[in-house]
Amino acid sequence: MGSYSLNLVLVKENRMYTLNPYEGLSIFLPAIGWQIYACLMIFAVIIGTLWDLYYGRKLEFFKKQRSEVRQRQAGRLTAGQRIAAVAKAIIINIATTAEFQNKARRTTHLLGLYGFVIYLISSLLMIFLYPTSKDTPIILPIAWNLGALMVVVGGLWFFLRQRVNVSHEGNSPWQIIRADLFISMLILSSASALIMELSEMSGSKVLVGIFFGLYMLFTTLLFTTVRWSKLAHMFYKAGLAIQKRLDEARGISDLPIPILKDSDK
Amino acid sequence: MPTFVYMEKCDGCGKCVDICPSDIMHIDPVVRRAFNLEPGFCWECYSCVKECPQHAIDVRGYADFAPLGHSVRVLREPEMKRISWKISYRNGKVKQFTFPIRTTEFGSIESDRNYPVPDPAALSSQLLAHEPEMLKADELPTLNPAENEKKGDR
Repeated sequence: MGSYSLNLVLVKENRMYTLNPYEGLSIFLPAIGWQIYACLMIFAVIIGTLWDLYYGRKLEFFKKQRSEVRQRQAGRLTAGQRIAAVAKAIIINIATTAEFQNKARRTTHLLGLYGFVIYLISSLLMIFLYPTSKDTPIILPIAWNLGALMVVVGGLWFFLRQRVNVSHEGNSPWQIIRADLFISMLILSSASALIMELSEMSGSKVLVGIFFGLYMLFTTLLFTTVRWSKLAHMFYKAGLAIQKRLDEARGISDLPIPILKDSDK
Repeated sequence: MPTFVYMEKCDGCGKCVDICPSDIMHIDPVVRRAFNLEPGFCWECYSCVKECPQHAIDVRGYADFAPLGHSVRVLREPEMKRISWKISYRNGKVKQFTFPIRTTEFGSIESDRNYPVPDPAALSSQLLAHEPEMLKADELPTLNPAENEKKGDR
């Protein structure tokens, strides 16, 4: 009841960030069009990742590495040990990115990661479950806006100050390299989504049309350039982190074992 | 033996780029990970190997005269004040060593950029930047050009 009345108040005040943004764009693309577009983008990410795995020789490298590891004598893990190792990887390496020692870089990464995930999930839920705004729960448009905003803030902070070629190699923040394809498309896609929504609030169809076009362009580039961009690092890094934790649990490591003196024990 | 980077382990923190005295550790523009730009110019000081927090840097011989297969892995534990090395030979032999760290604490030396910019007039001085205060000396001996000229005449 409380959220329903809040919904009514916000809608009355024409607060667009509480409405389903895709419904307002039905003049450009109907609900079914958005659903087909989302499916095509998911398909493009899967194809791009598989293409990169095969032609980027990442699969070959991974297989070779695993066969080398298998040759080493290592203990077998129980189901409990496996679960513990995977949980450690998910919590430490993936969810909190504790690997990053630089706090600012870790913050920008977490903002971008969670912003993107929130933005993506809320987009898919609104497109597939609530194609019209009348019955969209208020939490989804708010999450969509919050996610996009987190991506823009974290992304710009990373882009201008934290990129290693800028912060450590001294390159200009405006020097674009191929590794910037993913982050720049992500920022542009999220920023154009937010501006498009602001344009909807202004009521200018021309502005909405322009930013709708830009949003579609950047979003399509974001998901169709996986073979050349760093989007797939989300999957590779997560997979490698889990594998690394499992290897650690099995006692497989190529690092030296410190030889302890009696006084060190 | 020059250094190289395991790309899948590198997280692109840039510490090796900062520490390399030969300025050959750079960032790859395609994957934004570190790589050794010019192995032939590597001083083999192993600073990057020791500094890398992900243990992503290893060393190997030049491919033209040494077949690959050996490795040098390092585990630096400054909190324990020790450094361990694992040397794997091509014949499968493995040797491990642990040494105490007796030098200045890693990362404790102030970066050049934190010092004040010297006066341009200091360029004509015989002293290096921030000498003699950085050497904690009151005064350092300098050459007297007029005296040298006299000596040269003799």
